[in-house]
Amino acid sequence: MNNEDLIQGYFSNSLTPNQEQLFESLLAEDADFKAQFEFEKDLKRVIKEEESEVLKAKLQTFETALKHQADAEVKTSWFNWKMAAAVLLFLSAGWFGYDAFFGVNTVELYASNYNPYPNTVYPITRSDTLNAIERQAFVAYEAKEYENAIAAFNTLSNPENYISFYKAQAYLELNELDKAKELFKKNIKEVSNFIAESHWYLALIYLKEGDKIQSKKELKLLLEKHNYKRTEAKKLLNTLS
Amino acid sequence: MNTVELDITIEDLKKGSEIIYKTIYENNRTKFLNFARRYGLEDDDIVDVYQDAYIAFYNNVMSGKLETLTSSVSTYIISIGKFMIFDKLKRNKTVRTVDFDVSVLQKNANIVDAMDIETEALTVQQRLLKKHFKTLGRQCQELLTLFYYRGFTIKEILNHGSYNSENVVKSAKSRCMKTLKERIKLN
Repeated sequence: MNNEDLIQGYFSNSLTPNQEQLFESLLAEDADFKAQFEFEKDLKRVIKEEESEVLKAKLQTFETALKHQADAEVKTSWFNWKMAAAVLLFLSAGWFGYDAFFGVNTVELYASNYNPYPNTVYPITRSDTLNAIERQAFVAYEAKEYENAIAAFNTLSNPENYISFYKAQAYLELNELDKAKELFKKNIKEVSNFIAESHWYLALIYLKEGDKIQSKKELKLLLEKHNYKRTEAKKLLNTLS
Repeated sequence: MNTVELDITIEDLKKGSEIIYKTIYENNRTKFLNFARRYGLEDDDIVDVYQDAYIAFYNNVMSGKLETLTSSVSTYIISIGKFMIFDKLKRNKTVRTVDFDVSVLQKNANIVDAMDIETEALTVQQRLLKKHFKTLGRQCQELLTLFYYRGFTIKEILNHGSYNSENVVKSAKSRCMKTLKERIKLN
């Protein structure tokens, strides 16, 4: 088996253990062999990129088709909704309160917009024992055991700066809105990360409390400077205005 | 819809049918979008990640790296997608990275670990190679794609296409490589 066959065997995954050994030693000792191998490895990467581009273009056409389909469906349902609303309005015009019909239900808006923020800072799959308490805290957080998470967050001797944000999340889940609010505000003032996220969650808390003015204020702050949840924030702001 | 997916095997995928490619894309899309929304990315970005994750999955099937499915297709795509989202968040510095290490995440996620996933852009040398690869004739491009992308042996290429013997395949491949190298040199 010559060198060319060896490299070919590598790329088709068909080297025997002995050949593999020979391959490794040539790679370490023979500069020409190494250069040829690197060239072919690059070529493999390039062809994969080529194939991926073709695949991506195909997916984009599927995606466009899906969006057209969805748009068509939205138009139909909007039409039906208009019909239904017209009939309902007509039937109930005499006694149905205008406000009750068009007023904004902030609690429902909260529920439809709220999602707890996932743990994106501490992969609990880490096997080391560093920061064991922090790990414990995020295990509890991911298991939705928020009281335990808060207890663990509180015992951290030298907490990372993202901890206050996650503590606020936990309080929010436990419906302790004042504590959550305070921590989100503190986070915006003192910490350099999760600022956009804090504005978003503050807006939601105000919404839950029925304070539309404060909620709008937070949404505007979010939209002014950040990209996080942009579409949702705009939509929510429109609904509240 | 689900039954269609359950019946799909690696072999079906490898045949390269466009209908199967499209069906899998459509069947897993909503699930992926719902999963990824929790990371606060824009919907357009999520669709982009979904496509890249799906392509990475598909590439691993086509290259023979993934030989059998031990989980549902959606589990594979979501695992790759999660890896890509973390990678993206890390690059955007949204994730605080004091001791965050994507490779640790990767190592622990068996599915991702068993696959080739590209997150780096092409190097200058690779871009040059790409430019000249595209100028090769169709037959050369196909042959090299079968060899390097699909991981076919010379024998498999012989069975697959219009060659008369292994030696013919080998010399055709050598000629293609030689042309490619010459064109790069002349660049």
